[in-house]
Amino acid sequence: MISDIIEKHSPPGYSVRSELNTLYAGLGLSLFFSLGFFAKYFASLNALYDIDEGKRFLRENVKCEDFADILGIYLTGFIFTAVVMLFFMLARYLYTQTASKSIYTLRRLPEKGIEFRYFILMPITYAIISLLAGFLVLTVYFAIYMLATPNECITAAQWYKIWRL
Amino acid sequence: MLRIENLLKTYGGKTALKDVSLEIPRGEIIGLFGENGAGKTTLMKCILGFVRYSGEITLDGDCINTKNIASISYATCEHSFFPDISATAHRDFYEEHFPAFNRRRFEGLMDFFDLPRHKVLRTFSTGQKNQFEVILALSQGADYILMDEPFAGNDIFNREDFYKVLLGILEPHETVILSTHLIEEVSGFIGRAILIRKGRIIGDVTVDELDEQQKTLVSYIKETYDYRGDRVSKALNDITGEEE
Repeated sequence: MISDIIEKHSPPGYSVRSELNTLYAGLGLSLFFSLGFFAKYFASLNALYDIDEGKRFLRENVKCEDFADILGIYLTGFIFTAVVMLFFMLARYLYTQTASKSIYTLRRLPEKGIEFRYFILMPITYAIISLLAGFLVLTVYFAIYMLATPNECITAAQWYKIWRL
Repeated sequence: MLRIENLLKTYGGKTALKDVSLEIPRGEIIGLFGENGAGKTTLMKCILGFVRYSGEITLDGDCINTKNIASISYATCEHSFFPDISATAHRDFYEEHFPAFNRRRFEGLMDFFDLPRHKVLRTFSTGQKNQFEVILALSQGADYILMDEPFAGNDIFNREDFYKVLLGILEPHETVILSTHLIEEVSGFIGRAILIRKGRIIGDVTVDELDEQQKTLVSYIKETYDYRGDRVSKALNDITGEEE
């Protein structure tokens, strides 16, 4: 069904499978790379505690590293995927120039915005999906940080500090 | 009426078309003749809006845009079909986008040329690809059918079949503008010849006018092009150093 919708917005005969495979792979790898956040976060979390006779104690006046600092580059995979997906605009255009000049047929269609529909719309949609996925992961990781970190160890304005980057 | 006025097209400072003005009513079969690089293809691309130009091209008084572009179809030796879908898929695509698509003509021509309906176009032979390109242009339901060397690479039998079919199926409101080098082949069925040289129209004559002047199309073109009959013998003499 997804393929049908994409094909309707692609030059006839163009293989949308390669686009979807790239998107899925990009999202998967981005998610996998983002898991590095947890390694850094748990290290920061552990640094809040002292261990005495096998028991963990929260150190006094200690602050957890800011969420933004822990997050670092772990979500850049989603941005990279979004950029890569934009290159499919070029791939789609080149498809209509190789083997035949089907671009001539597309340009003769009696509808406005044909080039946007066939070349631009889906790659931009993929890029937006990737960025939204990144934002979703950001939100989940932020919620985990806020819930799992002791309140007294969290400095103010964590959410705003992300965007200050 | 397709009207072209003072058309000027340049490519990076090089003039491809200059001072081109034409009036092309419905119901004509027109041969567009000229040597390679004369501007035939550029003229067609200007009509279709594929390239920017100066001057004015109108169809029934209106600029050519998405509202009236379906009235013009295009067959080119470069091919404009989608190589990875079948003939049937093309038919469905054209039916979806071109309201006047003539399914009956499409099916009839597919049968006539005996083309496979369910194989992707990429697997067709060059001759079959050319035939299919022409079938699409003729079936679109356009009033103006532009054909740019549609049979480059096809054998004489293919071409003769095409001419016969073309004459048989065209309706009175349909105009064909056929760009070709095969002057003698098409001289029997075109009604008007337009000659283009170095981007300028140097001749525009109807077959009736030629008949009145008792000239053949070939002789008219040679005359208009200032063709030198002794060109070959002179060149041979120069090359071989022999006198006749």
